[in-house]
Amino acid sequence: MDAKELKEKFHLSDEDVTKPLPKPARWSKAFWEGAKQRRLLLKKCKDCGHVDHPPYLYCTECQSDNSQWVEASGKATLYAFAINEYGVPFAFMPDLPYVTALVDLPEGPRMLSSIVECDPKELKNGMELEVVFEDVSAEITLPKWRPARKSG
Amino acid sequence: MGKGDFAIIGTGEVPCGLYPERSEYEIAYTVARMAVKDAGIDMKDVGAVLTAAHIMGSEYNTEMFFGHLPEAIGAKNCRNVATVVAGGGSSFAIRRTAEGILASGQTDTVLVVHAQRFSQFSVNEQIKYFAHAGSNLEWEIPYGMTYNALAAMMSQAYMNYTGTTIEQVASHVVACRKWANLQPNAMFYSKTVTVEQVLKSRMVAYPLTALMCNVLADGGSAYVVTTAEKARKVCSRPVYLLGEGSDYSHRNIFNPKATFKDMTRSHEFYAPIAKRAFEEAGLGTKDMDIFEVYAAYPALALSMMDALGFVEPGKSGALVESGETSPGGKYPCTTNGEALGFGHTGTGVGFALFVESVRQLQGKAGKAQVPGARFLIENCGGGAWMDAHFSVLGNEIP
Repeated sequence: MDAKELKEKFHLSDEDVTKPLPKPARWSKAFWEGAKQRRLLLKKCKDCGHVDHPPYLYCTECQSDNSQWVEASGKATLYAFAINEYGVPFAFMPDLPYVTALVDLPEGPRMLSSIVECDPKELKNGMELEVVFEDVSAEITLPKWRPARKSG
Repeated sequence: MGKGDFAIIGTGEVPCGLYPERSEYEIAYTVARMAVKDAGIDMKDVGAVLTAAHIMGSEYNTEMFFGHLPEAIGAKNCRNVATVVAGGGSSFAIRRTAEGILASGQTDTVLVVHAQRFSQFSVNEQIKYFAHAGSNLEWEIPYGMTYNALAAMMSQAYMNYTGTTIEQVASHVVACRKWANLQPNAMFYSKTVTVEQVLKSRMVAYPLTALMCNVLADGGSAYVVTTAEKARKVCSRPVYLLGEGSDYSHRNIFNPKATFKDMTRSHEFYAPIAKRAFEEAGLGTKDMDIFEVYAAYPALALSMMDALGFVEPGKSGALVESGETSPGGKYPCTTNGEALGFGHTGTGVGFALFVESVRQLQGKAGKAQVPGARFLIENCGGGAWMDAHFSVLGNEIP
């Protein structure tokens, strides 16, 4: 069912069938600007070296303001996943079934994201992934992950 | 605040289920009177009234914030009124607050009330709320996260890394239902279920089927907590707070504390918390007659059991499958059926399990009574498993 059919069937508003997008905070803006340029950025403390994801106003390890954005390798491994089939907000119903997952980055952080370009039956804990970028609006690009493609 | 300084002397509870005509006010008034009557005291003895917030904001919350309840129930000597909320951990947070009020010496009697009515909201409102409630608006919601997806990922990790089977996960749903079938106030009191039915129910978020997920319900409960000294004067069987332990891990499920990062080893996060509660009580796993486990989803309940010392970590599924946590088993777990059997009343799941704990130790648990129960451990926690609290209770001070 697409958004138009959902609206008619369940008497929904445009808002009900519109996917919520991130509203970047002052301290996370660089992450979303990076994603738009196909770069996966992580906030790293220049004082203690801690990498924070999600990024916050200051380093959650030492409270320093002295941070820099570093580009991640774009590789990760699959820690866990769920295949969503029912009972999701209306805006996501046209996407069913879809995969939400926890992925572990070699840089340290774990991220919540989607696994795309993959038959959910092929998913395996620990499998290697690579980042892809999906433009969802003029301002917002969501980093997502797909099974790593053997290079060369 | 030390071992056995405070005690619960009375409880009240209304049936859990869908009762759209029964307002939160009616629930609150009803359970307040029941608890005070059960405690054998007068409403005028109550010096503080604490309410838990309705997890999905409602007009009731605003009224409670403005001190509605003491006037409405006739707590004419109430000196302290407050709402306390910490998501699913509210049951513990409110008890800690009650202990603080008692320790201040301003009053020796605190009434704690929880009331919830989800059925005032549409299904869409509930789905939207519970997507947002468990997940982060900026980092998770844009990916179509829901509470069920959150639990599904954690369950998938737990099963994969411990070798727990989906049949074993389903067995905990069945065990919870068996307990609920002995509880007249449970949403699923008259509905039995089999492992096969659990597995065949609609897939919601693999690996979780519909019967492994919670049904939001209306309900409420209350209890009276007092000093041990007063408890002994007014109550023939007080239930003492013997030991407590707490820890906080995270807001976002992808950003947990190191000890909670690996689902094969989540017991390393939970076990030290339980240990603190045991140590304060001067008791251990072998002294427990009941394990009142609250995790809302079955695989996560197994990960919690892994931490309590009566089963080898990772083997809780096999134990539950053997029937030993069900009624009549060697390790009675979750005797009101918790969210999966009693019903999910938001902040109230922990309250319902706590009130059930008190009933068990007072010998008032009816058909679900574990014979001769003296000591038990119960837990609650909130958010995306953000925190964990264990409490050891007993009808005597060891």
